[in-house]
Amino acid sequence: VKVTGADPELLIDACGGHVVLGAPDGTRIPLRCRTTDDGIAVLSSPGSLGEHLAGMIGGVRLWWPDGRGRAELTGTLSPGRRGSTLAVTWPPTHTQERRHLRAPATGRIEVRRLFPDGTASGRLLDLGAGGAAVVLDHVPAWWEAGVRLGVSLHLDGGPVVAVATVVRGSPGDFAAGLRFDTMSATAEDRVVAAVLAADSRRAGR
Amino acid sequence: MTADRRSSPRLPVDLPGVLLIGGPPLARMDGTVVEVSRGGCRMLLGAEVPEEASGGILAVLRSGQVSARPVRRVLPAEGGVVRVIFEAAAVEGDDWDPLLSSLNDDGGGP
Repeated sequence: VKVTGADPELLIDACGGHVVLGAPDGTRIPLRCRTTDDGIAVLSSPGSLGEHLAGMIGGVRLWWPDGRGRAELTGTLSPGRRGSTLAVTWPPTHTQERRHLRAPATGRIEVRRLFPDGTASGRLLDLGAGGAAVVLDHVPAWWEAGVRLGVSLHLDGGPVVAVATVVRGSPGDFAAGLRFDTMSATAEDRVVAAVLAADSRRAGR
Repeated sequence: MTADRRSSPRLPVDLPGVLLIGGPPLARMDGTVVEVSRGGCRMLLGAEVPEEASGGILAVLRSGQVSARPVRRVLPAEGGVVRVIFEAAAVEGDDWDPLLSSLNDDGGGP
Protein backbone atom coordinates (compact mmCIF):
# COMPACT_ATOMS: atom_id res chain seq x y z
CA VAL A 1 0.00 0.00 0.00
CA LYS A 2 1.37 3.34 -0.96
CA VAL A 3 -0.12 6.68 -0.09
CA THR A 4 0.98 10.01 -1.43
CA GLY A 5 -0.25 13.49 -0.91
CA ALA A 6 0.53 16.15 -3.45
CA ASP A 7 1.21 18.95 -1.02
CA PRO A 8 3.55 18.14 0.57
CA GLU A 9 4.51 14.85 -0.97
CA LEU A 10 4.08 12.01 1.46
CA LEU A 11 4.54 8.33 1.04
CA ILE A 12 3.09 5.44 2.98
CA ASP A 13 4.64 2.14 2.06
CA ALA A 14 3.08 -0.99 3.44
CA CYS A 15 5.15 -3.50 1.56
CA GLY A 16 5.63 -6.55 3.70
CA GLY A 17 2.71 -5.58 5.87
CA HIS A 18 4.45 -2.78 7.73
CA VAL A 19 2.84 0.57 7.14
CA VAL A 20 5.37 3.36 7.15
CA LEU A 21 4.68 6.99 6.44
CA GLY A 22 7.61 8.89 5.02
CA ALA A 23 7.68 12.67 5.15
CA PRO A 24 9.61 14.75 2.59
CA ASP A 25 12.35 15.42 5.14
CA GLY A 26 13.11 11.71 5.26
CA THR A 27 11.29 11.00 8.51
CA ARG A 28 9.86 7.48 8.56
CA ILE A 29 6.88 6.93 10.83
CA PRO A 30 5.54 3.44 11.55
CA LEU A 31 1.77 3.23 11.44
CA ARG A 32 -0.89 0.65 12.04
CA CYS A 33 -3.76 0.29 9.64
CA ARG A 34 -7.20 -1.05 10.44
CA THR A 35 -10.68 -0.63 9.08
CA THR A 36 -13.67 0.69 10.96
CA ASP A 37 -16.56 1.09 8.56
CA ASP A 38 -16.97 0.64 4.84
CA GLY A 39 -14.46 2.75 3.01
CA ILE A 40 -12.55 3.89 6.07
CA ALA A 41 -9.04 2.83 6.99
CA VAL A 42 -7.58 4.16 10.21
CA LEU A 43 -3.84 4.74 10.27
CA SER A 44 -2.58 5.17 13.81
CA SER A 45 0.88 6.02 15.05
CA PRO A 46 2.29 5.57 18.56
CA GLY A 47 3.01 9.28 18.78
CA SER A 48 0.77 12.29 18.33
CA LEU A 49 1.66 13.03 14.73
CA GLY A 50 -1.78 12.47 13.31
CA GLU A 51 -3.17 15.92 13.98
CA HIS A 52 -0.02 17.48 12.66
CA LEU A 53 -0.07 15.54 9.40
CA ALA A 54 -3.76 16.16 8.88
CA GLY A 55 -3.05 19.86 9.03
CA MET A 56 -0.31 19.54 6.46
CA ILE A 57 -2.17 17.78 3.71
CA GLY A 58 -5.67 18.15 2.39
CA GLY A 59 -5.73 15.11 0.21
CA VAL A 60 -3.91 11.93 -0.56
CA ARG A 61 -3.71 9.54 -3.41
CA LEU A 62 -3.58 5.89 -2.53
CA TRP A 63 -2.55 3.08 -4.77
CA TRP A 64 -2.08 -0.58 -4.31
CA PRO A 65 0.57 -1.94 -6.66
CA ASP A 66 -0.06 -5.65 -6.99
CA GLY A 67 2.25 -6.63 -9.78
CA ARG A 68 -0.44 -6.15 -12.42
CA GLY A 69 -0.41 -2.39 -12.50
CA ARG A 70 -1.46 0.43 -10.28
CA ALA A 71 -4.83 1.30 -8.93
CA GLU A 72 -5.29 4.88 -7.93
CA LEU A 73 -7.65 5.90 -5.19
CA THR A 74 -8.57 9.37 -4.08
CA GLY A 75 -9.04 9.88 -0.39
CA THR A 76 -8.73 12.44 2.34
CA LEU A 77 -6.66 12.35 5.48
CA SER A 78 -8.46 13.74 8.48
CA PRO A 79 -7.68 13.56 12.18
CA GLY A 80 -9.46 10.93 14.22
CA ARG A 81 -10.77 11.21 17.74
CA ARG A 82 -7.36 10.49 19.12
CA GLY A 83 -4.49 12.72 18.16
CA SER A 84 -2.45 9.78 16.94
CA THR A 85 -5.03 8.58 14.46
CA LEU A 86 -5.63 9.53 10.86
CA ALA A 87 -8.72 8.37 9.07
CA VAL A 88 -8.40 7.77 5.35
CA THR A 89 -11.79 7.86 3.74
CA TRP A 90 -12.79 7.29 0.16
CA PRO A 91 -16.02 7.02 -1.74
CA PRO A 92 -17.41 3.49 -1.59
CA THR A 93 -17.96 3.55 -5.33
CA HIS A 94 -14.30 3.12 -6.14
CA THR A 95 -14.79 -0.51 -7.05
CA GLN A 96 -11.96 -0.62 -9.55
CA GLU A 97 -9.42 0.47 -6.97
CA ARG A 98 -10.75 -1.77 -4.23
CA ARG A 99 -10.45 -4.78 -6.49
CA HIS A 100 -6.68 -4.42 -6.43
CA LEU A 101 -6.47 -4.92 -2.68
CA ARG A 102 -5.18 -8.31 -1.66
CA ALA A 103 -3.40 -9.89 1.30
CA PRO A 104 -2.35 -13.33 2.53
CA ALA A 105 -5.40 -15.10 3.89
CA THR A 106 -6.39 -18.15 5.86
CA GLY A 107 -9.61 -20.05 5.45
CA ARG A 108 -11.43 -22.40 3.18
CA ILE A 109 -12.90 -21.99 -0.25
CA GLU A 110 -15.53 -24.14 -1.89
CA VAL A 111 -15.94 -24.06 -5.66
CA ARG A 112 -18.53 -25.48 -8.02
CA ARG A 113 -18.18 -25.66 -11.73
CA LEU A 114 -21.21 -24.01 -13.27
CA PHE A 115 -21.90 -25.97 -16.47
CA PRO A 116 -21.71 -28.93 -16.12
CA ASP A 117 -21.72 -29.31 -12.36
CA GLY A 118 -18.52 -30.21 -10.57
CA THR A 119 -17.11 -29.54 -7.14
CA ALA A 120 -13.78 -28.92 -5.46
CA SER A 121 -12.53 -27.33 -2.28
CA GLY A 122 -9.29 -26.03 -0.89
CA ARG A 123 -7.64 -23.45 1.28
CA LEU A 124 -6.92 -19.81 0.61
CA LEU A 125 -3.38 -18.56 0.15
CA ASP A 126 -4.27 -14.96 -0.48
CA LEU A 127 -7.43 -13.05 -1.08
CA GLY A 128 -8.53 -9.83 -2.69
CA ALA A 129 -11.71 -8.32 -4.02
CA GLY A 130 -10.41 -9.12 -7.50
CA GLY A 131 -9.49 -12.73 -6.90
CA ALA A 132 -7.75 -15.34 -4.80
CA ALA A 133 -4.92 -17.80 -4.83
CA VAL A 134 -5.88 -21.25 -3.57
CA VAL A 135 -4.46 -24.70 -2.96
CA LEU A 136 -6.92 -27.43 -3.83
CA ASP A 137 -7.44 -30.54 -1.72
CA HIS A 138 -8.00 -32.63 -4.83
CA VAL A 139 -7.66 -31.50 -8.42
CA PRO A 140 -10.67 -32.45 -10.53
CA ALA A 141 -10.12 -33.59 -14.10
CA TRP A 142 -11.98 -30.57 -15.47
CA TRP A 143 -9.79 -28.04 -13.66
CA GLU A 144 -7.99 -25.74 -16.09
CA ALA A 145 -7.61 -22.06 -16.91
CA GLY A 146 -10.75 -20.48 -18.31
CA VAL A 147 -13.29 -22.60 -16.43
CA ARG A 148 -15.99 -20.50 -14.74
CA LEU A 149 -16.93 -21.41 -11.21
CA GLY A 150 -19.24 -20.52 -8.41
CA VAL A 151 -17.15 -19.92 -5.31
CA SER A 152 -18.04 -19.64 -1.65
CA LEU A 153 -15.74 -18.14 0.96
CA HIS A 154 -16.34 -18.20 4.69
CA LEU A 155 -15.28 -14.81 6.03
CA ASP A 156 -15.77 -13.16 9.41
CA GLY A 157 -18.34 -10.76 8.00
CA GLY A 158 -20.43 -13.57 6.53
CA PRO A 159 -20.32 -15.91 3.55
CA VAL A 160 -19.27 -14.57 0.18
CA VAL A 161 -20.57 -16.01 -3.06
CA ALA A 162 -19.15 -15.02 -6.43
CA VAL A 163 -18.64 -16.25 -9.94
CA ALA A 164 -14.96 -16.67 -10.71
CA THR A 165 -12.73 -17.79 -13.57
CA VAL A 166 -9.68 -20.01 -13.18
CA VAL A 167 -6.83 -17.85 -14.45
CA ARG A 168 -3.89 -20.03 -13.43
CA GLY A 169 -4.01 -23.74 -13.23
CA SER A 170 -3.89 -26.81 -15.35
CA PRO A 171 -4.95 -30.42 -14.88
CA GLY A 172 -2.93 -31.82 -11.98
CA ASP A 173 -1.93 -28.46 -10.48
CA PHE A 174 -2.97 -28.01 -6.87
CA ALA A 175 -2.11 -24.31 -6.73
CA ALA A 176 -4.41 -22.09 -8.74
CA GLY A 177 -5.46 -18.49 -9.21
CA LEU A 178 -9.04 -17.34 -9.41
CA ARG A 179 -10.42 -14.07 -10.75
CA PHE A 180 -13.73 -12.91 -9.27
CA ASP A 181 -15.93 -11.91 -12.19
CA THR A 182 -19.26 -11.27 -10.54
CA MET A 183 -19.73 -10.32 -6.93
CA SER A 184 -22.39 -8.35 -5.09
CA ALA A 185 -21.50 -5.04 -3.46
CA THR A 186 -22.10 -6.59 -0.04
CA ALA A 187 -19.82 -9.51 -0.82
CA GLU A 188 -17.12 -7.18 -2.09
CA ASP A 189 -17.36 -5.09 1.09
CA ARG A 190 -16.80 -8.27 3.14
CA VAL A 191 -13.77 -9.28 1.11
CA VAL A 192 -12.23 -5.81 1.28
CA ALA A 193 -12.81 -5.69 5.05
CA ALA A 194 -11.20 -9.13 5.43
CA VAL A 195 -8.19 -8.11 3.35
CA LEU A 196 -7.65 -4.88 5.27
CA ALA A 197 -8.07 -6.71 8.58
CA ALA A 198 -5.46 -9.30 7.54
CA ASP A 199 -3.11 -6.52 6.49
CA SER A 200 -3.66 -4.80 9.84
CA ARG A 201 -3.02 -8.01 11.80
CA ARG A 202 0.26 -8.57 9.99
CA ALA A 203 1.31 -4.94 10.52
CA GLY A 204 0.56 -5.30 14.23
CA ARG A 205 2.82 -8.28 14.76
CA MET B 1 -32.20 3.48 -11.64
CA THR B 2 -35.70 2.49 -10.52
CA ALA B 3 -37.34 3.90 -13.61
CA ASP B 4 -34.73 2.18 -15.73
CA ARG B 5 -35.47 -1.14 -14.06
CA ARG B 6 -39.23 -0.73 -14.44
CA SER B 7 -38.96 0.11 -18.10
CA SER B 8 -36.75 -2.87 -18.87
CA PRO B 9 -38.63 -5.34 -21.07
CA ARG B 10 -39.17 -8.91 -19.93
CA LEU B 11 -37.84 -11.34 -22.46
CA PRO B 12 -39.11 -14.92 -22.63
CA VAL B 13 -36.18 -17.31 -22.80
CA ASP B 14 -35.33 -20.95 -22.24
CA LEU B 15 -31.82 -21.08 -20.81
CA PRO B 16 -30.05 -23.37 -18.37
CA GLY B 17 -29.51 -21.46 -15.13
CA VAL B 18 -27.89 -21.91 -11.75
CA LEU B 19 -28.61 -20.10 -8.51
CA LEU B 20 -25.71 -19.93 -6.05
CA ILE B 21 -26.68 -18.95 -2.54
CA GLY B 22 -24.91 -18.86 0.81
CA GLY B 23 -22.16 -21.15 1.90
CA PRO B 24 -20.23 -22.89 2.96
CA PRO B 25 -21.72 -25.22 1.99
CA LEU B 26 -22.61 -23.45 -1.19
CA ALA B 27 -26.24 -24.03 -2.11
CA ARG B 28 -26.62 -24.70 -5.82
CA MET B 29 -30.02 -24.83 -7.48
CA ASP B 30 -30.15 -25.85 -11.11
CA GLY B 31 -33.08 -24.95 -13.30
CA THR B 32 -34.30 -23.18 -16.39
CA VAL B 33 -34.52 -19.43 -16.74
CA VAL B 34 -37.81 -18.66 -18.48
CA GLU B 35 -37.90 -14.86 -18.40
CA VAL B 36 -35.22 -12.22 -18.03
CA SER B 37 -35.08 -8.47 -17.63
CA ARG B 38 -32.57 -5.94 -16.40
CA GLY B 39 -33.99 -6.08 -12.87
CA GLY B 40 -34.52 -9.81 -12.44
CA CYS B 41 -35.74 -13.05 -13.89
CA ARG B 42 -38.07 -15.98 -13.42
CA MET B 43 -36.61 -19.41 -13.07
CA LEU B 44 -38.17 -22.86 -13.07
CA LEU B 45 -36.54 -25.23 -10.60
CA GLY B 46 -36.94 -28.96 -10.28
CA ALA B 47 -38.34 -28.73 -6.77
CA GLU B 48 -40.32 -26.35 -4.61
CA VAL B 49 -38.23 -23.76 -2.79
CA PRO B 50 -39.60 -23.49 0.73
CA GLU B 51 -38.54 -19.99 1.69
CA GLU B 52 -37.13 -16.84 0.27
CA ALA B 53 -33.42 -16.21 0.33
CA SER B 54 -31.23 -13.16 0.05
CA GLY B 55 -27.88 -12.67 -1.62
CA GLY B 56 -26.17 -14.85 -4.16
CA ILE B 57 -25.51 -15.13 -7.84
CA LEU B 58 -27.55 -16.19 -10.85
CA ALA B 59 -25.60 -17.67 -13.73
CA VAL B 60 -27.05 -18.66 -17.09
CA LEU B 61 -25.56 -20.54 -19.98
CA ARG B 62 -26.09 -19.42 -23.54
CA SER B 63 -24.08 -20.40 -26.59
CA GLY B 64 -21.39 -21.83 -24.35
CA GLN B 65 -20.98 -18.51 -22.52
CA VAL B 66 -21.76 -18.07 -18.82
CA SER B 67 -23.39 -14.77 -17.85
CA ALA B 68 -23.85 -13.92 -14.20
CA ARG B 69 -25.57 -11.30 -12.08
CA PRO B 70 -25.58 -10.60 -8.31
CA VAL B 71 -28.91 -11.47 -6.70
CA ARG B 72 -30.61 -9.44 -3.98
CA ARG B 73 -33.59 -11.70 -3.24
CA VAL B 74 -35.05 -14.99 -4.36
CA LEU B 75 -38.83 -15.20 -3.93
CA PRO B 76 -40.45 -18.64 -4.22
CA ALA B 77 -43.72 -19.05 -6.09
CA GLU B 78 -45.89 -22.07 -6.83
CA GLY B 79 -44.82 -24.89 -9.08
CA GLY B 80 -41.11 -24.65 -8.48
CA VAL B 81 -40.91 -21.15 -9.94
CA VAL B 82 -38.77 -18.53 -8.26
CA ARG B 83 -38.63 -14.82 -8.89
CA VAL B 84 -35.06 -13.59 -8.76
CA ILE B 85 -34.50 -9.91 -7.96
CA PHE B 86 -31.11 -8.59 -9.02
CA GLU B 87 -29.06 -6.10 -7.11
CA ALA B 88 -29.77 -2.64 -8.42
CA ALA B 89 -26.17 -1.52 -8.69
CA ALA B 90 -24.23 -2.52 -11.74
CA VAL B 91 -20.98 -4.29 -11.07
CA GLU B 92 -17.70 -3.97 -12.84
CA GLY B 93 -17.38 -6.42 -15.68
CA ASP B 94 -21.09 -7.10 -15.60
CA ASP B 95 -21.89 -9.53 -18.36
CA TRP B 96 -25.66 -9.38 -18.01
CA ASP B 97 -26.29 -6.39 -20.25
CA PRO B 98 -24.47 -7.99 -23.20
CA LEU B 99 -26.66 -11.05 -22.68
CA LEU B 100 -29.83 -8.93 -22.77
CA SER B 101 -28.62 -7.16 -25.88
CA SER B 102 -27.96 -10.42 -27.66
CA LEU B 103 -31.39 -11.72 -26.65
CA ASN B 104 -33.00 -8.56 -27.97
CA ASP B 105 -31.17 -8.99 -31.24
CA ASP B 106 -32.45 -12.46 -31.98
CA GLY B 107 -35.61 -12.75 -29.92
CA GLY B 108 -34.24 -14.81 -27.04
CA GLY B 109 -33.90 -18.51 -26.54
CA PRO B 110 -30.83 -20.72 -26.32
